[in-house]
Amino acid sequence: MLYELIEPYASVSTIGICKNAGKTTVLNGLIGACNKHGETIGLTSIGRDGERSDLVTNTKKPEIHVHCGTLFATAEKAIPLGTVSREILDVTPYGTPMGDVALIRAMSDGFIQIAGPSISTQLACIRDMLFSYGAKRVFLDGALGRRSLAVPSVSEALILSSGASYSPDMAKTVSDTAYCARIMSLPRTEYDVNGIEKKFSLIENGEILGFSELTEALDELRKKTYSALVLRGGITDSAASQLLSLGKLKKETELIVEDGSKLLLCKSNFDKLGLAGFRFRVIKMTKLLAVTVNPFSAYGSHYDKNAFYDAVSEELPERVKAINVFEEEGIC
Amino acid sequence: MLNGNQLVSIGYSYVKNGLQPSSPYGEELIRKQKPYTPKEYDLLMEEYSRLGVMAELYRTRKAQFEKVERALMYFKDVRRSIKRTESYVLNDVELFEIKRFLISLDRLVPAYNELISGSELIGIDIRTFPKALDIVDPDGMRTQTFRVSDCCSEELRKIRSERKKLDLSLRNAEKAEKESLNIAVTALAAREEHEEARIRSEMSKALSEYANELLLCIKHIGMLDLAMAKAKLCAESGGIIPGIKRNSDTISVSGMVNPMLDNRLNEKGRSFVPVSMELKPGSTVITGANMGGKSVTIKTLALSCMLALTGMPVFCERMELPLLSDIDLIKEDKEDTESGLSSFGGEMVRFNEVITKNTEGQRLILIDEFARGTNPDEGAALVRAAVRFFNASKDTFALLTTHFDDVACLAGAHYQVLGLKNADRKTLEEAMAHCENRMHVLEKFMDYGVYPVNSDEEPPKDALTICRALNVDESFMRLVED
Repeated sequence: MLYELIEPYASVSTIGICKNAGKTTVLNGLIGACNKHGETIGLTSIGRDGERSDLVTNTKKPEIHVHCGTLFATAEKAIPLGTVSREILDVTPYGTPMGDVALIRAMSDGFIQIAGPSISTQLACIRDMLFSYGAKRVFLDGALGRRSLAVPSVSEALILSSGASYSPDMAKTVSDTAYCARIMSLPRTEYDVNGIEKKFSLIENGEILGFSELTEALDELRKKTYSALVLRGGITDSAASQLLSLGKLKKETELIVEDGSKLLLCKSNFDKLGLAGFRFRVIKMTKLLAVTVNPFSAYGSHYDKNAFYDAVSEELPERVKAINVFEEEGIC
Repeated sequence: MLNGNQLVSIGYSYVKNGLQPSSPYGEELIRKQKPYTPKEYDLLMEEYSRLGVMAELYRTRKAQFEKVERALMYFKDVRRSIKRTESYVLNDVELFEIKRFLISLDRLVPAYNELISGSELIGIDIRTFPKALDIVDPDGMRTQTFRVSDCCSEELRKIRSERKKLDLSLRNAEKAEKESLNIAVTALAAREEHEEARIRSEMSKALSEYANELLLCIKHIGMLDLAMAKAKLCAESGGIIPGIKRNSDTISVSGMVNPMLDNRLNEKGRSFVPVSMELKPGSTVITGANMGGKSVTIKTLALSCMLALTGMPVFCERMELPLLSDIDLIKEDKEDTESGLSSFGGEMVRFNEVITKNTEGQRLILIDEFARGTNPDEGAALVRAAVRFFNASKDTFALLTTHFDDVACLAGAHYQVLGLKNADRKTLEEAMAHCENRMHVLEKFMDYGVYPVNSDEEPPKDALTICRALNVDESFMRLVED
């Protein structure tokens, strides 16, 4: 099922809601599925902070296993941490704390450690280099807390991993996972917002009014109703409080941001804005394909696997599938 | 010597930023560029000789020139890896970089030889290193990638072929077999790593024999890149090579232009009026109207001399000068007031530093409106004293601008920015009366040229006309005139 999900997309990011959510298991599953179809794949990651923390929590982490011929981009010092026999194809100018990122072809089967850059433009370049060296599909392993890099400019589609390691409280894990999934699958706006440069703009009947301060836009919104408010940049909790100060809107207004990663506000503010009459929309949509669930916790408080799966499935937005990692064929 | 801010303000940084090197080595030479000292006269001459050759080649063999430029773009800075061969075992990435460097050299050298054949380029020796390349590419495939090749050792070839078989069995193995196969693969991977490390150690050691030659070659690549970048700048912005004579007693320049200021003026639809002048040891004084271009002349002379001292093209029709050991520019500086000194105080501290500095050889001192921040009586006395002070030094070329009377008569030479001196007052007044944009009219009537005049010629007095052009309040102007 995993392969069918990703089949239409040339680049896919995997991200985890927390450490040990089962993200690497999913990535290995995806790699295995592509290997079976004889695809040359390319791999890189967004930073590399997951590995070190896993050493701290002392949990067994499945490393990434690849077949001979796989292309990957990793930092110079992460190269000897893998077991594959390798050929260096190129060295990029993109530096990381572990050295510059190199492009490598695996010359045997084996394990690799990937540590890519943490800047989205660099990631996009490396993704394209992997394509140009012959990768048919590129996977980007996202580290925790770097959700903002899983943006549409880097990958076409996204798989989110959630698991019991997030919190001993299953209800909290389910609710936060569903919130993450909602943000990442916000619908695209139908307004034409190309060419809008001002930080804040109001749209009504095809007319666009631009402001450089949020307060100015809000003053205007107090005077009369508008169909949409476009924000260049992120929405933070403090911006949310300002928006909420308007009270309940007389007319539903679209709140348009670049993409889901620009929503930097907590769940309760997100919900409150919805109740006040704002409808969240994005300019560029990332396709959230699935949420994988892992009932095993690295810290011992496991969930009931069926209850967890059902609860997450229930809460997910339409069209986003829940997948139980350890039951999906080809993952384990 | 001129400091960083001064280099920016005279337009030196602007010229330097116009250089577009193709390799990191050329880029570094530009970044670290510093003036040649009189003792390095021969080196400076070599640098200009290379620039001359390259400028000629850019004109006559442009296609070959551009081919070399393209070949230079492939270079990355590998000096660290090369230096490391002397005491470390290089990793895959470092060996990859050295291999790429050597292959890039293979691409550069034929293009370079074609470009310079028959020319007299001195001080540059760029060649290929086939034996060093054989070390990192023993099977001679000359691919752009790097892998410790199977042909390096029989042991490595054996391990890898064994591993290939095991990989295949592992792919098709049942769960029960997997564990033992995995252990076997891990052991083989460790043996492979060990053998590769041994080979990399041999490679590093063998490469270290070439380290010094490679580093020298890199230095020459940088010099070539620099000479080419300067040659292009010459062709594109009209630079020439100055005539530098040891201990010459004249700084002489004709048709001198300041590219940065010219560019600014072009944006306003005007252009820089070229300046010609000749300085002998002792004092030379420039007088002239406000806004006429005295400070610009000072800056432009500083720029031209600084360019000449650093082996750069100069922007004029002709320039001759000695290899100066020092250039100083003294003008009122905002920084002084920020550091707590008054503008006059700061200027005097700086002046004192300059005149008491221990220097050997010939120097240029440029002083813009000295002592203008104090009362005219004492101010004029200070400037007159400065002129006489520098007259007494046979190694100092001093150029001072001033508004004060009775100064120029003491100097060896006197130049004047004519400004409105020869403008027909009546036509000017009428034009200003009928035009909204008086500044525009003023600019039209201003003569920005700098001309040698008699030493007793008084500075022109045009301050009031200029005030009017600047739209200073009429009622105030009437008071002034009364």
